[in-house]
Amino acid sequence: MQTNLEKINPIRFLISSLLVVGFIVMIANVLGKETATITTDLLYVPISGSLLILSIVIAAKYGIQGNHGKSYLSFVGFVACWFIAELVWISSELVYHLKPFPQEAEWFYLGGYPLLLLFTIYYLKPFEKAISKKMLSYALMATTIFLVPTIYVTNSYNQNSNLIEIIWAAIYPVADSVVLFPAVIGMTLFFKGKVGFLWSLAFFAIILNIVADSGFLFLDMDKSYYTGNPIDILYLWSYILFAFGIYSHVKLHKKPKMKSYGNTEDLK
Amino acid sequence: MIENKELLAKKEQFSAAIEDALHEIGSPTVEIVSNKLLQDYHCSIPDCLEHPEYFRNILREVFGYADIAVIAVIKKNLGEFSLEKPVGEFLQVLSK
Repeated sequence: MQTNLEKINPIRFLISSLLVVGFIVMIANVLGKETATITTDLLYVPISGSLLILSIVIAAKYGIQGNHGKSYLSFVGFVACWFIAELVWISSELVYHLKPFPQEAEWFYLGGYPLLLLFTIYYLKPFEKAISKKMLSYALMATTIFLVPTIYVTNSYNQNSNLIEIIWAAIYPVADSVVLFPAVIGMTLFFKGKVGFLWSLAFFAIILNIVADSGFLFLDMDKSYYTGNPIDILYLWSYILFAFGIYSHVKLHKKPKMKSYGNTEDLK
Repeated sequence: MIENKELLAKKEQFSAAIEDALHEIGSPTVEIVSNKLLQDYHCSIPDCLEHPEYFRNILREVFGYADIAVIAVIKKNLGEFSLEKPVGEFLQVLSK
């Protein structure tokens, strides 16, 4: 018998989750900036927390052996860094009423990137021989497409902001572009495969991060950013995409249910 | 009887080579492939020696275009064993 959870189509569930989160942030914005800030800050906890739980589940399954074991361990490290960063951001904003950017949280956000890169490297390592020059050129093209405009925008808007703020803000889109490279390889390599779903979602999650980080860079320099700004929807969506990707891998390990053939006597 | 024993021994050796290749990726990968084989074809890894197309389909279904890297490791693991008839035929189907 199928449980209610199994009956839900994961794609529909994913789209509904994205729409609900987007809708909540937009409604909160209609009610005012303060409401938007509190609502969005509080949304980050369960969303990034769910991703952390799912990544711990899959890492526990693989242990530390094999390339994928190391890969998932790195992923847990990455998600843990970002989860801590969200908590630090929220506490500095809601409890200590400080301007949360740039603050201590940045070290955790930045610390997550090398771990995300390690995740992709360890995951792709066993499939090294299947990576073609065509895949590498697609990855390079995608990285360049996102990296060049980011550097251009950073240079164009650096007159009114202080150097430290520019460096902090520009470092994110650059780091996103770096992790985009293996994500594109993974997406093309595992295309049509069940593991490809994680890579496709990871690709879109990184794209959302690039767009959100570039938008953040622009808004922060313009002094118009506040937590809960509609641009935050992209960050929340990125967590959701990662979470559904990891969930698809957790599901791959489910024991199969044998089909019922009715009365076995009839088969004789 | 002797023929059956020989086939059984070959299947064991064959299965070990495949499981080693999947272990290199990560131990649960063996579980994923075994589960899919059971679910879709009601068979296990040793049975794939007689039904290589089942194994090829599952590899493609799970890993997409990256299946060729797994096949390369399997070939390496099988070594001289791949010169023997059923294993050689298995690899031929896998490489198609």
